[in-house]
Amino acid sequence: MLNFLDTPAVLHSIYLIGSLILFFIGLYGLLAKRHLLKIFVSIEIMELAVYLILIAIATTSGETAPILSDGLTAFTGMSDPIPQALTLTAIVIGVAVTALGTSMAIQYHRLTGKVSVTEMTELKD
Amino acid sequence: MNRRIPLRKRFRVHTLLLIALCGWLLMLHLTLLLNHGLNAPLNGVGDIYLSRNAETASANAVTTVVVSYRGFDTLGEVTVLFLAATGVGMLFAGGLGATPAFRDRNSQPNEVMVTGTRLLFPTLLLLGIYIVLHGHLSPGGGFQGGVIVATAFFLRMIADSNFNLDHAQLGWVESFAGSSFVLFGMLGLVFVTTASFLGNFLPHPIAAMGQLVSAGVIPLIYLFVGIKVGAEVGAIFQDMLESNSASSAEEH
Repeated sequence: MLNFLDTPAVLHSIYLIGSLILFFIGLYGLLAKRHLLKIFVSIEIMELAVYLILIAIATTSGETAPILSDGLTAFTGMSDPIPQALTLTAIVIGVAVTALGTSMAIQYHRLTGKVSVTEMTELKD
Repeated sequence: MNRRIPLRKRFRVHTLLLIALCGWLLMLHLTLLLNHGLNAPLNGVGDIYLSRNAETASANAVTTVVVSYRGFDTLGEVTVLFLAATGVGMLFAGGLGATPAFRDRNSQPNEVMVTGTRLLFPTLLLLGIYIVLHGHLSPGGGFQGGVIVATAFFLRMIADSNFNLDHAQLGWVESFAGSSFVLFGMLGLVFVTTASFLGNFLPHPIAAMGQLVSAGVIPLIYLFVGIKVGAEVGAIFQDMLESNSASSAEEH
């Protein structure tokens, strides 16, 4: 009864709509929240949505992970390995950038006692 | 507590409307794009990599792409991670803690934490090393395994306030792993049989595919990546914890 879910168009649409909802939840957090750490969390949520889109679009139903195991003998009928490798790269870079940004936010809070972006007026004058 | 505030004040309505508009436009755009892209016969770079993957004798095609075909990219990625770790170290070691927020970090970790860490530490360490060493056979690899090893040490740091990673030693381990990566790439350039950066100069017979010792230089390079990532992420954790204990020491 649910076989229609396996057609590539429906499958990709489901993945895409879910990831985009996640992406826009992150974007809302980025625009509406004022706390620095909440902004970093929102950026992380947006990154996660992009990883999900990259991975989900690269595969269709019936394709296996690009790894020879469980009796597979040839590299046929496998999903594209390049988006997966690029996502690995993106995750590592994302972690590094977030660590650096969070440390900057912590140091800013130590120096000024502020956590809100609306109160960041040091460079205004 | 929130019941007195009306719903329209708890959300920013203008932002929400803007987001909805953006979402609708992006969805339209993606629908147009994907109708063109996904219905075309798949004959991209990925399929060529997959069909040629047997030449590297690595059972995991993602690892082949990360370490071999796009190995130079991975070198750059590891460099970015190194720069970020250095930046975190610089931010926290600069002694900027003018007005540290008061937090009692010197309180002892509770019993559940200590006992749980005692149980988990060897298991996590073993899992991390397994994932690094089997990067060319199963899902995982240097990045994932390195982070798991670093997490094991992080748990140890939280549970035992006297446990510290030595920054000098971490630096040595990291430099060793980084230079070994570059050295192996250079060796691939030197040998006549490969004559390319990160060329697979060790023997990698296709018959050995799926065994632990196979795929020539790929598992070695991923091992170095794992050591480097573990040391860098461990250094980031250590920096963050150190800054907390330093500021609370000033406070007391």
